[in-house]
This record gives sequence, C-alpha cells and structure tokens, in this order.
Amino acid sequence: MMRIPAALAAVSIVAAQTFAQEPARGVARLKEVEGNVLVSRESGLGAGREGLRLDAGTRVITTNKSRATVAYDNGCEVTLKENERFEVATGRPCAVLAALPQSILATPAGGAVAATSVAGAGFLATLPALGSAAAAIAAARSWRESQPVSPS
Amino acid sequence: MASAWSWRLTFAIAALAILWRVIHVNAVLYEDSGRPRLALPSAPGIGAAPADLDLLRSVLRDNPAQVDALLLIARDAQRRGANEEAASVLAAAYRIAPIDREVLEASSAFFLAQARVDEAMVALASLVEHYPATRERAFPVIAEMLASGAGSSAMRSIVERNPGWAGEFLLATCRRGVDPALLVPLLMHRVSLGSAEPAESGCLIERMRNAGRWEEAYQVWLNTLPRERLDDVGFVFNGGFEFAASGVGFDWIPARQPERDVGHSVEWARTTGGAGKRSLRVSYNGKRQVGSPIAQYLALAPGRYELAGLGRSDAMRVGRGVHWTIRCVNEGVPGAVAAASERFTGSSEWRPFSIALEVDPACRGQILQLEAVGADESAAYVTGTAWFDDISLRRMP
Repeated sequence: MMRIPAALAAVSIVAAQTFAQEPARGVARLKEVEGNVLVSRESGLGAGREGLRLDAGTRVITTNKSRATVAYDNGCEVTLKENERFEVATGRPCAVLAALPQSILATPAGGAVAATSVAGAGFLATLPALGSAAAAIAAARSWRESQPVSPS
Repeated sequence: MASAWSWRLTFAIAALAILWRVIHVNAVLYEDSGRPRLALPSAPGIGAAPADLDLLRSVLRDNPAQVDALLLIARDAQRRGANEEAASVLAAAYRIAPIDREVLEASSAFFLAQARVDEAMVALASLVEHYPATRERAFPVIAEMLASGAGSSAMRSIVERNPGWAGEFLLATCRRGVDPALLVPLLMHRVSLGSAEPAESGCLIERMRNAGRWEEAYQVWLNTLPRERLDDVGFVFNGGFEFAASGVGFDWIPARQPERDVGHSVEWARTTGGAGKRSLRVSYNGKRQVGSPIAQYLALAPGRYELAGLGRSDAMRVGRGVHWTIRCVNEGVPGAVAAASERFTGSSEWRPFSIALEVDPACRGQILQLEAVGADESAAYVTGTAWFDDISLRRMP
C-alpha cells in the first residue's frame, strides 16, 4: 500500500535535486502580472505569464489596464504601469532600472483655451438677435417650428 | 355645521383653482407637441429695448416655462455684459427644458464665450446626444476643447459614460486630422467596454503610422486585440492564416476592390500540405495587376531578421510570377524594396522559402506584401493560383 507514495516521494526528491543543480535561465522573472502583458521573443511578441523567466534584453510591454513587476534575481524590482515598456537590463543600480520603464502612448500637448471661444462663435448666431421682442419671439417660434420636435 | 360647509367651499374653490391651472397649462400654455406655447403680442410699435424686455417679462409671467423668452432675456443680458444674470437665466431655462435644442445651443455658446468649458461641454454633450443633426457642427468644437485641454474633467466623465455618439465623434475627429493621441483614451475605454468599431482604431492607427509614430500605433493596435490573440502576436501577425483578417492595424490587409478591377482575389482556404487548417489562397485572373492582393504593416526594430514561410504555385503560366517583398514606409508611402522572396511561378508543391532582411534605424515601419514581379517597372499580368502558409519572422543574432 505504501509503495506508490514512497516512489513518488523519491521521484520528487530526485527532481528537486536535479532542478536545484540546474542554473535558472534568465536574470529576472515576471510577477504580479495583471491584465495583458507581452514579452519579446525570437519571433516577436507573446504573452507574458506570472513567473516567466526573462533574459537580459527581453522587452516587457504592458497594455491598457495592465501592470507587471520585473523581479531581478538580485532582489531589484521594476514595476511597469499600463502602456509602458521596459527592456530587461543588467549592470545598473536598482534605482536606475526602476526609472527605466517608459510610457509608449504619447500625452497630447495642451493648446489654448481661447480657441474654444472662437469655435463656439458659430453657436452664438443660432438665435435671432433681440432687437424687437415681438419680431424676435415670432422668429424664434418660426425657427422652432422648422426644427424636429423630438430628440433622436 | 357652518364650519363643515365652509370647509367644503374652501375645498371646492381649491379644486377648481387646481383644475383651472391644469387646463391652462395643458390647453393654453403648451402646444400638443409639449412645447411651450408662445404668446404672440400683436400690438404695433413694440421695438424699444425696455419695452421689449417688459413684454418678455409679461410673457414669462403668463407662462414661466416660456424658454424662448428666457433665452432672449439671457442673450440681452449677455450683450449688456451682465454675464452672471445671463448665466442664471440660462440655468433657469435649462432647468425647465434640459433637452431643448435651443436651450442647449444657447448654453453651449454662452459658456464657450465665457471660457466656462466644463459647463459648455456638458451642454454640448447633451446637444449632440439628443440632436444628431448638430454633430457636424458640434464635434469640431468638442474636439477643440479636447485639444486645448480645457473641459478635461467634463471630457473624462463623457469618456467614462461612453455615450452613443462617442464612436461617431472619434471617427469624425480622427478624420479631421486632430492629434490621434487625444482620442486614444476614448478609444481605449471603448475597447475595454467592447463597443469600439474597427474603423475607429483603424483610423487612429493609420494616422499614427502616417505620422511616423509606429510604436504608438503598434501599442494602440495591441490594445485592440482580444486576450487570446495576444498569446502569439509575433513579428508577423496571424502568419498561419488560421484567423480571418481584420484589415486593421498590423493585421493582414486583403485587397478590398473587386477582382475584375485589380486582377486578383484573396481567400483563407482549407488545404492540405500547408501548416494548420487554413492557408492563404490568391487567385489571379490573367488581367493587369493593380495593387497588392495582401499586405501587412510591420513595426520591426532595427536589426537582422529572417522571414520564412511555405508557398505553392498552381498553373501560374502568364507573367513573371509573384513574390513577397518588404519595403520601408515613410509618411504612409512604401519605398523601394528592402528585401524580396524567390518568385512563385508555374506549378509546384508546397516548399519553404525565406528572406534575409536588415532593418535600418531610419526604417521605423515596414510593409510586407505580395506583389506581381516587375509590377514596379511595367504592367504585370498573372494567371493561376498561389498558396502561402506559416509565414513568420525571426530576429537573427
């Protein structure tokens, strides 16, 4: 009855020793993966999963409403927010690495608020001018009657 | 006994008063359509401004819900520089008729003129929501507000609400040439809600590509892909032709014109001998070739690559055959051939092919396309069928 569990235990021990002796590939791993995260591979981008080992030079890309942390084997952690990219680099201080993720989508530059006043000028001509109240009301009524009554 | 009668009399008078008001409001003050009925004075000689205002006020006394009179008073106040008065009168009109077209237009115009953009944005949003005919005029105004960064809090709430006109606004604004980055948050939100149309993302991505913003364009496109398609994006997307082409972004773009006009037709067909269940089949009818039957934009970083795939030709007897090319794209225009595959002509079984490619740093975006050999130099005629499958790009050390 005890033969199978004993055999399994033995296999587990041997397997654990084997993996312990084999050096882990890469220099970091992905963790705290939320949403869609992509990593570069030889043939292009593919999905990045929790725990995926990352070689130096691998590019990590987050998409909308996603985030991930690149956890280096030396304990350094680099967090990517949404729509950022980071190339797994080595030989730099952790603070430098942590500052490397870059936003991919550009933030649009703001323009002049005054432009809206100019653009809105078209609306100012909508109503008839208030010269004669009677004529204006009549004109307003006429204009109203030419417009659709119900919103669509 | 007397007090009971007095109570009954009071009740009857009150009831009659209410009944009179109901009849007055429904039969006198409002039209059948629900619009306030205008009291049109016929008295001649009205023209002086104070008298006009008196008339408007008397109209309002008769019917306080007379929004036209309110709008005229507001406009008069605005002309006199009494902006706070105008704002409060417009606010009264808005409370009475919150989806009245004239109220919304007047409010939009007033708040825009006063640079009170959050309030203007609310009025404009309501206007375009309820009156589609105003969109052509209002969308550019909203786009300008968006571009200026003004009304950003109102815009954020509109983006969150994702109203029914958002897609139309996005597309119209993109086509007008506004910075696509302004529209990306709206698109991203619509994508996350599953309400974005391919034309919306297609327009933004194309504009970014044409502006040389390839990485942004690629990122926007990635964001539009469903999760299951992100497992293996690759440098060449859907190189196995197992999924239908969207024709958008960095997916395959098959020719859309009729075969009789371009000389070829494209289909995703089941076959044996290729990889997977489907392959690309391109049929040539022997007429002059116009354009490329199929293409895909690439956003390869500088470096060395190898494109590989499987191809088969069947009865391609006329012309010099077809080949895959990769060209750099600048400002939306493909340049000279950077790399080309072997030619596919005659008849052959499935065979592997490959192209070595070196991407120059100046070549920020590329296009992979199937072309008739020699089409650049002269008219090209092709007959027969070409099959392709399992196209992929690998980065070389």
